[in-house]
Amino acid sequence: MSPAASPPVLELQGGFTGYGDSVVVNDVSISVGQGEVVCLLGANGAGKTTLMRAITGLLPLMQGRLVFRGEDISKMPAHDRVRAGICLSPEGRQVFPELTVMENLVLGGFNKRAREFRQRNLDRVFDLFPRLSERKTQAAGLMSGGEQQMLAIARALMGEPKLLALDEPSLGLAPKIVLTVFDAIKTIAQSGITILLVEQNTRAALTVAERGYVLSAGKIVHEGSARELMQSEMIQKAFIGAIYDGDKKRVTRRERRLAALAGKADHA
Amino acid sequence: MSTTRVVILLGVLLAVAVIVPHLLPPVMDDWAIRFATLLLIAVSWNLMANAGLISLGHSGFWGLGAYSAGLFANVTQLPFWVSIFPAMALGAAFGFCLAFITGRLRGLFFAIATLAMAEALRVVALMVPALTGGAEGLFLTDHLRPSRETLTSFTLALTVAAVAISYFLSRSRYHYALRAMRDSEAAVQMLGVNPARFRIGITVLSGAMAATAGMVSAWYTGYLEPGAAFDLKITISAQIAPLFGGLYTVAGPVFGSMALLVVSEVTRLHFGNTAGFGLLAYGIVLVCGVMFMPGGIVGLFRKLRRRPRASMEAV
Repeated sequence: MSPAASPPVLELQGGFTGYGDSVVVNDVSISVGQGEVVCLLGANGAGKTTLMRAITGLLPLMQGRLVFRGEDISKMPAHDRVRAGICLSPEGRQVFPELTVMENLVLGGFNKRAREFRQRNLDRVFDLFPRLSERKTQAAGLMSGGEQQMLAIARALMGEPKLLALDEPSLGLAPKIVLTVFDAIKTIAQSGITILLVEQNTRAALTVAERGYVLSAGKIVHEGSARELMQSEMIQKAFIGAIYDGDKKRVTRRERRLAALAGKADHA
Repeated sequence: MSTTRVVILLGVLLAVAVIVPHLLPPVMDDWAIRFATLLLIAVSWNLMANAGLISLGHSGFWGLGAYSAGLFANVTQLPFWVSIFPAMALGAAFGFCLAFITGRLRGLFFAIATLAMAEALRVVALMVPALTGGAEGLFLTDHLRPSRETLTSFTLALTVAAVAISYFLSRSRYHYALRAMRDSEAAVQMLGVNPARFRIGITVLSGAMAATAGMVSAWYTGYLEPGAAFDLKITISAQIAPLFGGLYTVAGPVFGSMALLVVSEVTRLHFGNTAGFGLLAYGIVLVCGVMFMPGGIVGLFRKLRRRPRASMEAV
């Protein structure tokens, strides 16, 4: 679906943000259409997570305008944006380790808008992640990294999102678990939820995303459909080429693994 | 336990709290009042701790409650129980200021800020003798002072209310928001909870509760003095009781306050004549308690019964 077909769910125009005096995200404009899955790609330190923080309201915009479903939310505090419909599965998962899986999920549906859908959403996330329903009463901190990632995504879904923001869902997970997580993301996307995905794992991201933006040093350097990005010289250079210069042997192995991963994901 | 049964239990407790003090010998009334004031401030401290706010400023709430009650009664000459309203109002107001001023401070930084504010209040009480009587202290109007039995009933009724508040809060959805704030306020905010609102709410509640304890103690002693009303020991015992009984639990402060009272009475009676030794024994018991029962008395019970985690299906 092209972004012009319907008014975008989320639109950032000329966004600047950063920490203190240092500007990390520099004049970035992105838009996410209704029902679209859009990914933000980029290497370490490109500003992906910072941009995500600005969109979810954890970091104020220094300049620029953020419009969500026709409403200017540039100045809206983070907790109100959740009620408006932007639900985040944060980088590094950030589940509440001492609370049970169920308690984490109930907290995810804390906002007023989501409360009445709690039971439906619980059924939905347990359907999506059967592992979680087996571990309802387990303390979240005692689960594996993959399970915690599932919980983080499920918790965001409990908030009845109009835009699901996923920050590095593959971070620190075994390739096999990455597949499971991305399968789930695909299922979520098929159910019609708009997704903004931040990823370093380019290939995995491009298997679910329809469109993507490439960030480098805080600027959008490239954008296009998933297919274009997958074949783009620039992506190859930016994410694979750079490693090539260093240790050729290691990279070939890594590449083979990535290729296998992308292949499997296509079959699934 | 169903809510109806809890309400009935609370009603019974309330009746016991009101009637029993009139039947007890004086020394037991003294124990009851000391237990009850300790329990009030322990519950209050535990509520804040549950939200990740470690307070070292509870003596501030206590002292404010004591002074506002005393001054209010002396000026208006109204019955003693009316003074609970200015005490709670001031405690709540101070709680609001505390939460507002400390903003997003957490952990140690929050604790130090609360300590500083409580100490500042003590100094202020010393420096404005025109209002507080300064270091000379302040006497409460004698004919307004309630009988010991009445005050005991009143205080025990307050503790039943405080424990009830703490219980119902622990069963509400707010509990999960507060408990999660202990782990990470930023993560809670990402779930649509406004941490500032909850922080202010719990500090206001905790402040009002702690101030009632100060108010009771003012009526019990009939005399106020900044050093005693804003004593750091109050803050310390406010956190030892929940720690000893079971941190973050509803029953913890109750068992902890009882245990502390027993330990302090026993050490005082046995080692009372050798000054300091009683305190040493008291200290040793506490250290052993924390070392060997990290979950407190409640934790010990749970371990013995091996009860599985409470189900969340009801929420």
